[in-house]
Formats: sequence, C-alpha cells, structure tokens
Amino acid sequence: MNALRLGSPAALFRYAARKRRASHIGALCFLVFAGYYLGTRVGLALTFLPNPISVLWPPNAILFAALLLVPRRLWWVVVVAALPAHLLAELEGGVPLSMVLCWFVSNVAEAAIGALVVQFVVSRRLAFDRLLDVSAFLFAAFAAAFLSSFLDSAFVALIGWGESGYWDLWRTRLLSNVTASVIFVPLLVVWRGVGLDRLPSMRRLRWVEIAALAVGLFAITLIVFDSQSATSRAPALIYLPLAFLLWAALRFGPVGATASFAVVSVLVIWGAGHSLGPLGMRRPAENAFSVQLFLIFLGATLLCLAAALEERREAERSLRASDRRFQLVLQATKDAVYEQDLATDAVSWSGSGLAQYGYAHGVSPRTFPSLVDLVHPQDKARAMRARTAATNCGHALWECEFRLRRNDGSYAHVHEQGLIVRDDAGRAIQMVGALTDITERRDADELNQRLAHASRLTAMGELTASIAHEINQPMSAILSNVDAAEMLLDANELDRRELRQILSDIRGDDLRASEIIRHIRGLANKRQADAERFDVNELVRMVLRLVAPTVKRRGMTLEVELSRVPLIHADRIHVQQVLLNLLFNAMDSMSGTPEQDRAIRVVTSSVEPHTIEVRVSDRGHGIPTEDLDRIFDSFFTTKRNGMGLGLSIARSLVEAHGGRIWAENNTDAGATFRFTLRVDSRKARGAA
Amino acid sequence: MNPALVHVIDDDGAVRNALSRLLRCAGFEVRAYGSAVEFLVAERDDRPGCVVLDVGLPGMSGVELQAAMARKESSPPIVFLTGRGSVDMSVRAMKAGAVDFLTKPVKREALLCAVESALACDMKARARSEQTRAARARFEKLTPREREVLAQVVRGRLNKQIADDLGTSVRTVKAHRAQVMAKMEVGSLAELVNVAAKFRDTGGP
Repeated sequence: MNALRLGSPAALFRYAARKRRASHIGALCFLVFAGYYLGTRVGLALTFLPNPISVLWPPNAILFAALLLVPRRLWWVVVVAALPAHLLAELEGGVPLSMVLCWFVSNVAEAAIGALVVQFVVSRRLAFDRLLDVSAFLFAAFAAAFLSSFLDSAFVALIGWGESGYWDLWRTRLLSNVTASVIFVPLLVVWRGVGLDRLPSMRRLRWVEIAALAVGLFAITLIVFDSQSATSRAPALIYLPLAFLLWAALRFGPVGATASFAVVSVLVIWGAGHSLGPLGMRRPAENAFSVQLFLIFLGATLLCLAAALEERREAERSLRASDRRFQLVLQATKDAVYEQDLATDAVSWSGSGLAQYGYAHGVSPRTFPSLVDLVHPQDKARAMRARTAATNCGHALWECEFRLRRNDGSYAHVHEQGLIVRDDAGRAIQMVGALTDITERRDADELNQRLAHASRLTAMGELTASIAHEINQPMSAILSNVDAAEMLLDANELDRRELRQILSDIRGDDLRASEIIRHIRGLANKRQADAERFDVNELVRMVLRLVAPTVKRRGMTLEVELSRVPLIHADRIHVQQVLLNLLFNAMDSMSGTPEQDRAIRVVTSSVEPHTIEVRVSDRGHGIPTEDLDRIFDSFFTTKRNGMGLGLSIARSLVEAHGGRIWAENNTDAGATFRFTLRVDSRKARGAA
Repeated sequence: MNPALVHVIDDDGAVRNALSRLLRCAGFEVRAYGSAVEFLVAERDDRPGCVVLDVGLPGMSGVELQAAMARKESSPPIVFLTGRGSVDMSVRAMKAGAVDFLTKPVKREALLCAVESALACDMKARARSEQTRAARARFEKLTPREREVLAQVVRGRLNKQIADDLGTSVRTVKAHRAQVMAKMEVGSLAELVNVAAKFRDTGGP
C-alpha cells in the first residue's frame, strides 16, 4: 500500500530520507537513554559513604553533551529519551515522583543553559581544539550549574526532601555538576568526532606509545590514589599522573587529554571514596570537596593546554602548507626572492637565491649593501630613489628595473617588485623583494621596436619616393618648357603661337602638380575630426600609462602636475597624437643626458578663461635659438633617424583645434614644448 | 646637311612634349615615342642621331631597351633620364654604353651638352664603321694568295719566311705584297696593319 504512494523518484527519495531519519532518531534515543541511565548509576556508585555524597553527577553532563552534539531541532528527542532513564534510575532509590520530576526539570535546564551559552559564544561546532572553545565551554559549564542549582535547591526545599540546608545543597550540586561537565562533556564531544576509520592506518609505533601511555597512566594513578602504601600518603605525589596527562595532551591532543583525564578522574574519585590515596585522608565531605576542586582545576588546565597545543599545531600545519605553496610558486616563476630586515640590513633569500645569476646558494649577498653592489653603477641611484620614495611616502609596494651584475661580470636586466612591511606605527621594518630576469623580454622588445621603426622608415621612404616622382614629372616638364621658351625668345623671329602653347602647357603641368599635392593632403586628412567632450588630465594619465614602459626602459622618470582644468571639446585621438609626439621627442632629446637627470615633466593648467595649456619639459640638449622657429616645419629634423614630421603634424593638429604650439628652452637644461587648446574648438573654428 | 635626329622616349606626354620642344628649339630634328616598343617598331632611316630615354618606362624599361638595341648592328647612343637618381642603375646604364645619365628635372645646358656629345659619338662611330666597310670592300678584291700574304705580313713575318711557308720565291712574295698594298690603298706597312686591325674586330682575317 505504501508502494502506491511512492510513485515518483522524488517521493521515494523523501521516503528513504524519512526512514533514515527515523532510524537516526531511534539510535539517538537509545544512546541518550543508555548514557543517562549509566551516568546515574556511575554517579550513585561514586558516592562517598557513609554519608551519601555524590562527588560526580554524570547524567547532567551527558545531557549537556547530547544537546551540543545534536542539532537544536532534535533537542526534544534528547529530552524525551532522557526522561524514562531518569525515572527508572531515581524511582529505584525510592524518591517521590514529584521530586524526581523536579530534578529532571533542573537537569534539563542546566544542560540547555550550557549548550545555549556555548553555541552563543562559539559559532562553529565545538571541538576543544581552540582556546576559545575551551574557555567558552568552561564558562558555560559553570554558569549552567550555577544557575540551575538555585532551581534544584529550591525544588528540594519546596518538597521538603532530605535534611540538608538550601546552600549546602546548592554548593554540593554546583561542584559535582561542574566536575562532571569538565570530565564528560569534552570527552564525549571530542571522541564523537574521532574518525575510527583512520585507526588502522596508524603506525605501529603509535599503538605502542598509546599502550605505554595507558599502562603508565593506569599504574601510576592506581599506585598514587588507590593504594594503602605508605608512599601514597605524601601529598606531593598527586602530581605524578600529571606527567602522563601532559604526555597525552602533547602527543594526542584533545582526544588523548580528555580520555586520560577521564581515566584519572574515575580512579581518583574511587580512591578518595574508599579513603585511599592523598585525597582520601579526611572526612568524606572534605574529601569530596578537595577531589572536586582538584579535578576541576586539573581538567580545566589540561583542556586549555591541549587546545593551545592543537591551535599551534594547526597554525604550523597551515604555515608549512603556505610555505610549500610559496616555494612552488617561486620555483614556477624563477624569481629570486629576498627579505631584508631594515634594522640590521641583513638579507635572507628564499629558494635558490641568486643561483640563476651564477651565484651559488652560499654566495648570494647576505647584507643589503652587498646586494646593492651588484646593481649597475648607472642604475644604482635610480633604483635606490624608487625604493626610498616608496618607503617614505607610505606605499606598500615598489617596483623598478635595473641591471644586475651576474657572477661572470655580465649584466642581466632585472625587474624588482617589492613589498614594504610596516609596524603598527607605519614605520617600515622589512622589505620583501622579488627579482625577475627580464633580459630576454627586453631584448625582444628592443628588437621589435627597432624593426617597427625600420619598417616605418621604409614605408615612409617608399611613400615619399613615389610622391617625389609624381611631382617630379610636371616639374620637369615645366623646366623644359621654360627653357624652350627662353630659346624661342632668343631667336630672331618671335613665334607667338608656340610661346602661347608653351605657357598653356606650363599652366597644365602646374595644375597637375598641385592636384597631386591636394591628393596627398586628402590622404593625410582622411580621418574625419571626431570631436567629443573629455578631460585632458584623464587623457594625459592614459597616454603616460601608455609610454610608461618605454620611459622606464630608457631609464627616465616621469613627473606629472595636473591642475583642475575644464573639460574640452576636441578630437581625443588628435590631442593624444600631439602629446605622444611631444613625449617621444622629449625622450629622444635625452639620450645623451646622464641617466640620473633624465626626467620628463608634464603639466596641465588653465591659462585663460577658455583655454588650457599642456606643457612637456625635458632635460635634454635643448634647441639652438636659431632653430626655435623652424622645428615645427615639415622635414626639419635634428635627429639622425628622424623624418622631421612629428612636430609639424603636432602643429597642424593643434592649429586645427584653434590652439597654438611653441617651444622654449629651459633656463637650466632642456626644452619645454607647450600647446594650448580651446575649451570648445567648434567656437574657435567658427570664429576663424 | 641633314640636321641630327634625336629620338625622345618618355611615357609622360607633358615631359615628352616639353623635351621635344626644347630640342627642336635647339635646332635638332626630334621624333618622340611614348614607349620602348613604339620606338623599336618605328621605321627608321639610317640617319645619324641619338636617343633620349626615360629609365622608368612602363612595360619594357629603358635599360631593357638599351640591351635590345645593343644586339643590333648599329644603334644610336643613349642619354638616360630618370626621375629618381639611383647610383646602381646609372652605373649599370653607363657600363652598358650610355653616354650620360641625367636626373629630372633636367637643366637645359646639361641636356643639350649630353645630346651634342651623343651625336658626336654617333658621328665618330659612323665614320669608323664607314672606314671599316671600305677596307672590307677592298679586302674582298684580294686573291686568296694575296690574303694569305697579307695575313703573314700583318703578323710581322719577313718576306723570306713567308716565301718558305708558301713554298715560293721571295720575289713572288714581294710582288704579292706590292699588289696587296695597292689594292688596299695604303702607302706603308703601318697603315696596312692599322686597316687590317679594324676589320679583324668585325670578323676579318
């Protein structure tokens, strides 16, 4: 009949899940019932006679642990399963039903308070492998017993069971329940998480160690706490098991610590209950008190220790893992990475150090000055400047390129990326640098650039040659016609018809030449001006990003000073072209400048209400005064490979926008090129 | 006297007209052609002259035309014109016998000078070939025996040696020799050697 309702796979799946859940709940009920009942029996068994004083009351701890281990929606199952066990155990002792039920209420209240407090403090599942877990648990256990004991004692006083006073009851219950919690909750919670499937893979030596630990712990605890021998009367002997407990915590973590502590606790209580050992020498009430305090403090300490050790082990594990990942990354990138302590200038290398530059592992520089010695003398000042600037300006990163001397004396081009580690006050305390060998990449770059330049020259050369030829033909015809006319004039009789024909031919040739020139101009202006509104500063930044690699490669620095300027309406590509031409011009002018002086400065400013100005200054060879007027002419160049077109193109582009471009020599060194742009070039055109 | 004939070959009509006009004003007779092929197929009388040739002709180029003309028996000397002066091209043209290599726009003096010297070249070549032709005609009149004697004489052999070689007497050789001198219309041995050398180049004895 069920099969009829289980038509679809989804329904079948739900049915299976329900069935599985039902069997889980069944197992949970049984475990809680059995645990609670057993706990009660143990608690009763460990009472100190002749006055029945319970040193330890495990059922509450078991309830507490059960609530921690099951999701909150199943707490009711735990409570329901514990009730029969509670009734069964307590009614056997002839306690009235009302009293039994009241106790159950206070027990459940304790477990619930404890579990709620723990879950409030610890967001993840409790595992006793962090100090936070342990302290949260200890606090919760104490708070739960502390609060619920008021209730418990009140119930007892209300019903009038027994002869003890309210505060005696409160104190006894508090201590016995805290003791039980400290012993059993960690034990159950930690051992619940132990994967039994891992056990077979443990090495034999580990098993031997476990056996030795167990035997030693048992023997020593039995001898110290459960024997009549004279030595057991020496109070200091109570520390003997500590060695084994520490061993367990150190070698086996929370799992070992909780288990061995439980063993010790049971043996200590049993001994004290039978007036044996150092804690069994006084009256039962006093014995119980000292056993409880002893166990609570011992247990708390041990849990903290095990958790701290575990935390540290975990940290080491993740550190090792990240270190291994780091080493893998290093191997993959072939970077040489060093750490520099800024206090001592000591340098330590990761991996193989500077091996790829020919320095065997032991020979890589050990101090920062000796590392700097390997930098090419011409690059040293610049590299140090980049570093110092980054350090002083509070940056976290720096990068620079320089040449590094290999062990064989040759130089490698190196790109360094560094991280500056700072203390809380922001002072730099450590530098971490990664050196990448970019020699090959750089060579390839340079080659590409040279090729590009050469092919550009060839293309330009061919273009100019064919233009020259085209214009040359009419010019040549004109010249010959003029010569012929001259000869005709020298002749005696004037052939007017012929002369007229010659003039007409010359006009024709002239028109043909200008037609060709107009055609060329048309080619150059083919791209329609495409005006849009944009921020010149943003464009400057974009262009500088574009040329930054070249600037860096040529060992130059860029300085930028951008003022607030209004948006302009112009052709972005044209302005970009002008700026690029000026920047490349500036770079070319400084090829002879000492490397530490090579700097390009770009400044934008607002000069008149509707005009902005861009300035590009270099520290190069400057411009001879007599050439200042000619540098913007076509085909005027001072460069060996120059075509003499860059500045003339820049001028025509700027003038097309209603601006002006000019150059001046700086008072100290180099030249400054300045151009202005109208904020709205349309108006300028309209006015022109 | 017939004016010298100048052939102007240039694909650019304006240039062609201007050059022709200039040369005509300078007193030359000019024939103009738009391409190398046009020049080659044109009927030509055997008048002294020269060629003014643009290097960069479309189709058959100036240098190719020069090579084609060199294969002919008599060809007028060439003055090259070029739009772009390239050294290797001018060297090649000059080696192949060009009279001059001028860059456009060409100056009047340079052009007229080059044309004059090309014409002078042609005159000289014509005179030389005329002499050769006459010498050859005279050579044709010699008997086989006289040709043998001539061959030996220009090689500088003595009458006696020649007589021994030919199996005849010195007297007979002397007679042949006088006959040769008379028929070749020369007055001395030196002259004879000179004339013989001229048509030896063109496939004589």
